Amino acid sequence: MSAKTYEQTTSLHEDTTYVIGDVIMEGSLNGGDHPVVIDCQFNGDITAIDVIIREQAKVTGAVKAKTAVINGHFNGNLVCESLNVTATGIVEGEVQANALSIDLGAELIGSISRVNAKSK
Amino acid sequence: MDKLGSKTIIGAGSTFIGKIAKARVIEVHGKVNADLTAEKVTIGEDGHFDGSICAELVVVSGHYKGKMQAGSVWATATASISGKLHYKTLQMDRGAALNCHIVHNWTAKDASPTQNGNEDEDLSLPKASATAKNGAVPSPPEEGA
Repeated sequence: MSAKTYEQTTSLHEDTTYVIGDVIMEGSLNGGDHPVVIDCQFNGDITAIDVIIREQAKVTGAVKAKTAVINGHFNGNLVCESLNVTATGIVEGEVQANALSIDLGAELIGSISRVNAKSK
Repeated sequence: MDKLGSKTIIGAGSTFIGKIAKARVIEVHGKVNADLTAEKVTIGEDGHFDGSICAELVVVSGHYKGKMQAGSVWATATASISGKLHYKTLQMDRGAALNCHIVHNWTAKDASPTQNGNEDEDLSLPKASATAKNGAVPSPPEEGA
């Protein structure tokens, strides 16, 4: 399955999980085979096939995904197959990714390594 | 903002365990085990919600279990509600399954203390505005059911 574009994953449909607005969430979120879009304050774990952390988001915790796009603020452990940190993205912590793209202006603080085992 | 506004959707097939605070409009199509404060809550046909809800409007089409405090509750034909329900206005469609303690009261203050004894304390309305400032979520009331 190819990585979905931002537009594809942000079009509204019931399978995608969106957490948007002034919401404060704490806990663990599992999107399963569907994408997860976060644009809020989130403390905890996120597991999904695609994880998009948008500009206004502040996520603290562990993220496990196949593809991850970070437009906002992420702090914690990130394990994914492919990662894109956009110009507005800030990533602090431990990153494990096989394919990594960092846009000009992005902030990456921490360690970067490859995923050893084949993980989701 | 954008086309999504501030609508939060827990998609079908996804699960969430924890706390949700300050949500405006939230739709649950997956499985949620959480304590939730929001303005409008929709539990979709395939949605499962377990935990307390404090909201102005709650539309239930799926499964709900827990303590709900809502201004308006609409249980559609596919709804299944168990636990406790505090409401101001209630609409129930033919086919809705309510297997719960129902109180026509919005605040615990108005509730008759003789009705369910000291359990009323558990149902006191969380001060959403006060706790929201601290970014905290009201702690879940102890499960009496």
